[in-house]
Amino acid sequence: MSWTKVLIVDDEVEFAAALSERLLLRDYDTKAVYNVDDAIAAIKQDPPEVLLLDLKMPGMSGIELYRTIKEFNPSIEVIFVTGQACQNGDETIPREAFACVMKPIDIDELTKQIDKAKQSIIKK
Amino acid sequence: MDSEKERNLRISQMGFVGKMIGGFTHELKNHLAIIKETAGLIEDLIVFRKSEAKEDSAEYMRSLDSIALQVDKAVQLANYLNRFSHRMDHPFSTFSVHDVIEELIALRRRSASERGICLETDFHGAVPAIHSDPSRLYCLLYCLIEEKMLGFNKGSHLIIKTEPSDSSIIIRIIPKGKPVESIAERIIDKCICMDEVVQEIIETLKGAVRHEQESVTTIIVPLNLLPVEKK
Repeated sequence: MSWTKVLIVDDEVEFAAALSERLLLRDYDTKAVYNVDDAIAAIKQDPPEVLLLDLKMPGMSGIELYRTIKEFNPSIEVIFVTGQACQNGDETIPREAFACVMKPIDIDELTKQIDKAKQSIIKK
Repeated sequence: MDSEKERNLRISQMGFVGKMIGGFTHELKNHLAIIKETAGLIEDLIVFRKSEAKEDSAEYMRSLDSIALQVDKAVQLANYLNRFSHRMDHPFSTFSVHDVIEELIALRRRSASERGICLETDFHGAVPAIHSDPSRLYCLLYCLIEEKMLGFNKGSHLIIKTEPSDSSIIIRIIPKGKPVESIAERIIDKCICMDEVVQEIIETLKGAVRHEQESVTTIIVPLNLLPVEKK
Protein backbone atom coordinates (compact mmCIF):
# COMPACT_ATOMS: atom_id res chain seq x y z
CA MET A 1 0.00 0.00 0.00
CA SER A 2 1.29 3.47 -0.76
CA TRP A 3 0.52 7.17 -0.45
CA THR A 4 -1.78 6.99 2.49
CA LYS A 5 -2.04 10.52 3.86
CA VAL A 6 -0.74 10.48 7.43
CA LEU A 7 -0.51 13.35 9.91
CA ILE A 8 1.65 12.96 13.03
CA VAL A 9 0.74 15.15 16.02
CA ASP A 10 3.34 14.99 18.78
CA ASP A 11 5.06 17.70 20.85
CA GLU A 12 8.30 15.66 20.85
CA VAL A 13 9.72 17.30 17.73
CA GLU A 14 12.65 14.90 17.23
CA PHE A 15 10.39 11.88 17.57
CA ALA A 16 7.73 13.17 15.18
CA ALA A 17 10.28 14.40 12.62
CA ALA A 18 12.20 11.09 12.58
CA LEU A 19 9.00 9.05 12.38
CA SER A 20 7.70 11.27 9.58
CA GLU A 21 10.90 10.75 7.61
CA ARG A 22 10.74 6.97 8.13
CA LEU A 23 7.14 6.81 6.91
CA LEU A 24 8.01 8.97 3.88
CA LEU A 25 10.76 6.48 3.01
CA ARG A 26 8.05 3.81 3.05
CA ASP A 27 5.86 5.82 0.64
CA TYR A 28 3.39 7.22 3.14
CA ASP A 29 2.42 10.81 2.38
CA THR A 30 3.41 12.03 5.83
CA LYS A 31 3.47 15.38 7.58
CA ALA A 32 4.30 16.17 11.22
CA VAL A 33 3.03 18.99 13.44
CA TYR A 34 4.08 19.64 17.01
CA ASN A 35 1.18 21.35 18.72
CA VAL A 36 -2.60 21.29 18.94
CA ASP A 37 -3.23 24.55 17.04
CA ASP A 38 -1.09 23.48 14.08
CA ALA A 39 -2.83 20.08 14.12
CA ILE A 40 -6.31 21.61 13.84
CA ALA A 41 -5.15 24.03 11.11
CA ALA A 42 -3.47 21.21 9.14
CA ILE A 43 -6.52 18.95 9.37
CA LYS A 44 -8.87 21.73 8.20
CA GLN A 45 -6.58 22.71 5.33
CA ASP A 46 -5.62 19.25 4.07
CA PRO A 47 -7.31 16.42 5.99
CA PRO A 48 -5.23 13.26 6.43
CA GLU A 49 -6.65 9.78 6.13
CA VAL A 50 -4.85 8.56 9.23
CA LEU A 51 -3.89 10.63 12.26
CA LEU A 52 -1.10 9.49 14.61
CA LEU A 53 -1.91 11.28 17.83
CA ASP A 54 0.18 11.63 20.98
CA LEU A 55 -1.91 10.98 24.08
CA LYS A 56 -0.36 13.68 26.22
CA MET A 57 0.49 17.13 24.92
CA PRO A 58 0.81 20.59 26.44
CA GLY A 59 -2.40 22.58 26.48
CA MET A 60 -4.86 19.92 25.33
CA SER A 61 -4.71 16.15 25.82
CA GLY A 62 -4.75 13.86 22.79
CA ILE A 63 -8.20 12.65 23.84
CA GLU A 64 -9.61 16.19 23.89
CA LEU A 65 -8.05 16.84 20.48
CA TYR A 66 -9.47 13.52 19.22
CA ARG A 67 -13.00 14.59 20.24
CA THR A 68 -12.55 18.03 18.64
CA ILE A 69 -11.32 16.52 15.35
CA LYS A 70 -14.07 13.89 15.24
CA GLU A 71 -16.66 16.67 15.56
CA PHE A 72 -15.63 18.34 12.31
CA ASN A 73 -14.13 15.38 10.44
CA PRO A 74 -15.39 11.97 11.64
CA SER A 75 -13.89 10.13 8.63
CA ILE A 76 -10.26 10.42 9.84
CA GLU A 77 -8.96 7.23 11.44
CA VAL A 78 -7.02 7.96 14.61
CA ILE A 79 -4.17 5.84 15.99
CA PHE A 80 -3.02 6.92 19.44
CA VAL A 81 0.73 6.85 20.03
CA THR A 82 1.54 6.90 23.72
CA GLY A 83 4.43 6.59 26.16
CA GLN A 84 2.14 5.06 28.76
CA ALA A 85 -0.17 2.05 28.81
CA CYS A 86 -2.97 2.25 26.25
CA GLN A 87 -5.49 1.52 29.00
CA ASN A 88 -5.10 3.43 32.22
CA GLY A 89 -7.25 4.87 34.93
CA ASP A 90 -6.73 8.54 34.14
CA GLU A 91 -7.22 8.75 30.40
CA THR A 92 -8.66 5.71 28.65
CA ILE A 93 -8.36 5.62 24.88
CA PRO A 94 -11.80 6.12 23.28
CA ARG A 95 -13.33 2.88 21.92
CA GLU A 96 -13.91 4.53 18.55
CA ALA A 97 -10.18 5.17 18.09
CA PHE A 98 -8.74 2.88 15.43
CA ALA A 99 -5.77 1.63 17.45
CA CYS A 100 -3.22 2.47 20.08
CA VAL A 101 0.53 1.81 19.82
CA MET A 102 3.06 2.33 22.55
CA LYS A 103 6.33 4.27 22.46
CA PRO A 104 9.02 3.31 21.65
CA ILE A 105 7.18 2.15 18.56
CA ASP A 106 7.79 -0.82 16.30
CA ILE A 107 7.74 0.66 12.77
CA ASP A 108 6.42 -2.57 11.23
CA GLU A 109 3.58 -2.76 13.74
CA LEU A 110 2.74 0.89 13.12
CA THR A 111 2.69 0.58 9.32
CA LYS A 112 0.44 -2.50 9.65
CA GLN A 113 -2.00 -0.45 11.71
CA ILE A 114 -1.87 2.44 9.22
CA ASP A 115 -2.58 0.02 6.35
CA LYS A 116 -5.49 -1.50 8.28
CA ALA A 117 -6.86 1.99 8.92
CA LYS A 118 -6.62 2.79 5.20
CA GLN A 119 -8.48 -0.46 4.37
CA SER A 120 -11.15 0.47 6.87
CA ILE A 121 -11.62 3.84 5.12
CA ILE A 122 -11.84 2.17 1.68
CA LYS A 123 -14.48 -0.26 2.97
CA LYS A 124 -16.58 2.61 4.28
CA MET B 1 1.09 10.98 65.98
CA ASP B 2 -1.97 8.71 66.20
CA SER B 3 -2.31 5.68 63.96
CA GLU B 4 -4.87 7.20 61.56
CA LYS B 5 -2.73 10.30 60.97
CA GLU B 6 0.33 8.10 60.46
CA ARG B 7 -1.63 5.95 57.98
CA ASN B 8 -2.83 9.02 56.06
CA LEU B 9 0.70 10.33 55.92
CA ARG B 10 1.99 6.99 54.60
CA ILE B 11 -0.78 6.88 51.96
CA SER B 12 0.11 10.41 50.93
CA GLN B 13 3.82 9.61 50.71
CA MET B 14 3.18 6.45 48.67
CA GLY B 15 0.91 8.34 46.28
CA PHE B 16 3.54 11.04 45.89
CA VAL B 17 6.28 8.47 45.18
CA GLY B 18 4.04 6.84 42.59
CA LYS B 19 3.42 10.16 40.82
CA MET B 20 7.15 10.95 40.76
CA ILE B 21 8.10 7.54 39.37
CA GLY B 22 5.24 7.71 36.85
CA GLY B 23 6.55 11.09 35.64
CA PHE B 24 10.05 9.68 35.34
CA THR B 25 9.12 6.54 33.41
CA HIS B 26 6.98 8.57 31.01
CA GLU B 27 9.86 10.98 30.35
CA LEU B 28 12.39 8.18 29.97
CA LYS B 29 10.17 6.30 27.51
CA ASN B 30 9.86 9.48 25.45
CA HIS B 31 13.63 9.84 25.23
CA LEU B 32 14.03 6.15 24.39
CA ALA B 33 11.36 6.50 21.70
CA ILE B 34 13.30 9.37 20.13
CA ILE B 35 16.54 7.38 20.31
CA LYS B 36 14.87 4.37 18.68
CA GLU B 37 13.27 6.44 15.91
CA THR B 38 16.49 8.32 15.19
CA ALA B 39 18.53 5.10 15.06
CA GLY B 40 15.79 3.59 12.89
CA LEU B 41 15.99 6.56 10.54
CA ILE B 42 19.75 6.07 10.09
CA GLU B 43 19.14 2.39 9.32
CA ASP B 44 16.40 3.34 6.84
CA LEU B 45 18.64 5.90 5.13
CA ILE B 46 21.29 3.24 4.66
CA VAL B 47 18.81 0.61 3.42
CA PHE B 48 16.63 2.86 1.22
CA ARG B 49 19.24 5.27 -0.16
CA LYS B 50 22.43 3.29 -0.66
CA SER B 51 23.30 5.12 -3.88
CA GLU B 52 23.00 8.58 -2.32
CA ALA B 53 25.24 8.00 0.69
CA LYS B 54 27.21 11.26 0.36
CA GLU B 55 24.10 13.41 0.11
CA ASP B 56 22.69 11.72 3.19
CA SER B 57 25.76 12.32 5.38
CA ALA B 58 24.34 15.58 6.84
CA GLU B 59 21.19 13.71 7.82
CA TYR B 60 23.26 10.93 9.40
CA MET B 61 25.15 13.52 11.45
CA ARG B 62 21.92 15.21 12.59
CA SER B 63 20.49 11.84 13.61
CA LEU B 64 23.64 10.87 15.50
CA ASP B 65 23.63 14.25 17.31
CA SER B 66 20.00 13.66 18.24
CA ILE B 67 20.82 10.18 19.62
CA ALA B 68 23.64 11.60 21.78
CA LEU B 69 21.41 14.44 23.02
CA GLN B 70 18.56 12.11 23.97
CA VAL B 71 20.91 9.71 25.78
CA ASP B 72 22.24 12.67 27.78
CA LYS B 73 18.70 13.78 28.65
CA ALA B 74 17.71 10.25 29.69
CA VAL B 75 20.82 9.92 31.87
CA GLN B 76 20.14 13.29 33.53
CA LEU B 77 16.57 12.23 34.24
CA ALA B 78 17.76 8.89 35.65
CA ASN B 79 20.17 10.82 37.90
CA TYR B 80 17.30 12.95 39.22
CA LEU B 81 15.25 9.84 40.04
CA ASN B 82 18.27 8.17 41.60
CA ARG B 83 18.83 11.17 43.87
CA PHE B 84 15.09 11.30 44.64
CA SER B 85 15.03 7.61 45.67
CA HIS B 86 18.11 8.00 47.89
CA ARG B 87 16.43 10.88 49.73
CA MET B 88 14.46 8.10 51.46
CA ASP B 89 17.55 6.18 52.63
CA HIS B 90 17.67 7.95 56.00
CA PRO B 91 14.94 9.80 57.91
CA PHE B 92 17.37 12.67 58.59
CA SER B 93 20.24 13.96 56.52
CA THR B 94 22.02 17.14 55.52
CA PHE B 95 20.98 18.28 52.06
CA SER B 96 20.46 21.23 49.75
CA VAL B 97 16.90 22.50 49.47
CA HIS B 98 17.78 23.74 45.97
CA ASP B 99 18.70 20.19 44.90
CA VAL B 100 15.36 18.90 46.18
CA ILE B 101 13.43 21.62 44.33
CA GLU B 102 15.41 21.03 41.11
CA GLU B 103 14.70 17.27 41.24
CA LEU B 104 11.05 17.83 41.96
CA ILE B 105 10.67 20.28 39.08
CA ALA B 106 12.57 18.03 36.65
CA LEU B 107 10.29 15.10 37.46
CA ARG B 108 7.06 17.13 37.39
CA ARG B 109 7.84 19.41 34.44
CA ARG B 110 5.90 17.27 31.95
CA SER B 111 2.82 17.15 34.18
CA ALA B 112 3.01 20.95 34.54
CA SER B 113 3.51 21.38 30.81
CA GLU B 114 0.45 19.23 30.05
CA ARG B 115 -1.56 21.63 32.20
CA GLY B 116 0.05 24.62 30.45
CA ILE B 117 1.93 25.69 33.59
CA CYS B 118 5.57 26.82 33.51
CA LEU B 119 7.69 25.96 36.57
CA GLU B 120 10.56 28.35 37.34
CA THR B 121 13.07 28.86 40.14
CA ASP B 122 14.48 31.96 41.79
CA PHE B 123 17.18 30.65 44.14
CA HIS B 124 19.01 32.82 46.66
CA GLY B 125 22.77 32.31 46.39
CA ALA B 126 23.38 32.11 50.14
CA VAL B 127 20.90 29.41 51.18
CA PRO B 128 22.80 26.89 53.35
CA ALA B 129 22.30 23.12 53.52
CA ILE B 130 19.72 21.97 56.06
CA HIS B 131 19.55 18.97 58.38
CA SER B 132 16.03 17.65 58.16
CA ASP B 133 13.78 14.90 56.76
CA PRO B 134 14.26 15.20 52.97
CA SER B 135 11.51 12.75 52.06
CA ARG B 136 8.85 14.65 54.00
CA LEU B 137 10.04 18.05 52.77
CA TYR B 138 9.90 16.65 49.24
CA CYS B 139 6.34 15.39 49.78
CA LEU B 140 5.30 18.73 51.29
CA LEU B 141 6.68 20.72 48.34
CA TYR B 142 5.08 18.27 45.91
CA CYS B 143 1.65 18.75 47.53
CA LEU B 144 1.86 22.55 47.67
CA ILE B 145 3.20 22.92 44.11
CA GLU B 146 0.60 20.42 42.82
CA GLU B 147 -2.18 22.37 44.49
CA LYS B 148 -1.00 25.57 42.80
CA MET B 149 -0.72 23.81 39.42
CA LEU B 150 -4.34 22.68 39.73
CA GLY B 151 -5.45 26.10 40.90
CA PHE B 152 -4.17 28.17 37.98
CA ASN B 153 -5.11 28.39 34.31
CA LYS B 154 -3.05 27.48 31.28
CA GLY B 155 -0.29 29.99 30.58
CA SER B 156 0.43 30.60 34.27
CA HIS B 157 3.90 30.52 35.83
CA LEU B 158 4.87 29.11 39.22
CA ILE B 159 8.05 30.58 40.67
CA ILE B 160 9.75 28.69 43.49
CA LYS B 161 11.80 31.26 45.37
CA THR B 162 14.18 30.64 48.26
CA GLU B 163 15.89 32.83 50.85
CA PRO B 164 17.74 32.27 54.13
CA SER B 165 16.36 33.68 57.38
CA ASP B 166 18.23 33.34 60.71
CA SER B 167 17.83 29.70 61.67
CA SER B 168 15.48 28.72 58.85
CA ILE B 169 14.94 28.73 55.11
CA ILE B 170 11.98 30.39 53.46
CA ILE B 171 10.54 28.83 50.30
CA ARG B 172 7.87 30.78 48.47
CA ILE B 173 5.61 29.38 45.77
CA ILE B 174 4.58 32.41 43.75
CA PRO B 175 1.92 31.97 41.08
CA LYS B 176 1.72 34.40 38.16
CA GLY B 177 -1.45 33.96 36.16
CA LYS B 178 -5.21 33.62 36.36
CA PRO B 179 -6.70 31.32 39.04
CA VAL B 180 -9.20 28.67 37.86
CA GLU B 181 -12.79 29.34 38.80
CA SER B 182 -13.81 25.71 39.32
CA ILE B 183 -12.17 23.64 42.02
CA ALA B 184 -13.67 20.34 40.78
CA GLU B 185 -10.43 19.28 39.11
CA ARG B 186 -8.54 19.52 42.38
CA ILE B 187 -10.44 16.67 44.02
CA ILE B 188 -8.32 13.86 42.49
CA ASP B 189 -5.05 15.10 43.88
CA LYS B 190 -6.64 15.94 47.21
CA CYS B 191 -6.65 12.16 47.76
CA ILE B 192 -2.85 12.35 47.87
CA CYS B 193 -2.40 15.81 49.33
CA MET B 194 -5.04 16.08 52.02
CA ASP B 195 -4.88 19.33 53.98
CA GLU B 196 -4.39 17.46 57.25
CA VAL B 197 -1.47 15.55 55.72
CA VAL B 198 0.18 18.80 54.64
CA GLN B 199 -0.35 20.12 58.16
CA GLU B 200 1.04 16.92 59.68
CA ILE B 201 4.17 17.02 57.53
CA ILE B 202 4.95 20.64 58.34
CA GLU B 203 4.46 19.92 62.04
CA THR B 204 6.90 16.99 61.92
CA LEU B 205 9.36 19.26 60.12
CA LYS B 206 8.82 21.86 62.89
CA GLY B 207 8.14 24.49 60.29
CA ALA B 208 5.18 26.53 59.08
CA VAL B 209 3.08 27.02 55.95
CA ARG B 210 1.41 30.36 55.37
CA HIS B 211 -1.03 31.25 52.64
CA GLU B 212 -0.50 34.91 51.84
CA GLN B 213 -1.84 37.57 49.49
CA GLU B 214 -2.03 36.93 45.74
CA SER B 215 -2.08 33.16 46.36
CA VAL B 216 1.56 33.09 47.47
CA THR B 217 2.37 30.14 49.74
CA THR B 218 5.30 30.55 52.13
CA ILE B 219 7.00 27.54 53.69
CA ILE B 220 9.41 28.02 56.56
CA VAL B 221 11.65 25.11 57.48
CA PRO B 222 14.27 25.14 60.25
CA LEU B 223 17.91 24.65 59.26
CA ASN B 224 18.40 21.94 61.86
CA LEU B 225 15.67 19.44 62.66
CA LEU B 226 17.00 17.04 65.26
CA PRO B 227 15.62 13.49 65.28
CA VAL B 228 12.88 12.97 67.84
CA GLU B 229 14.12 10.63 70.54
CA LYS B 230 12.00 7.52 71.12
CA LYS B 231 10.34 7.42 74.54
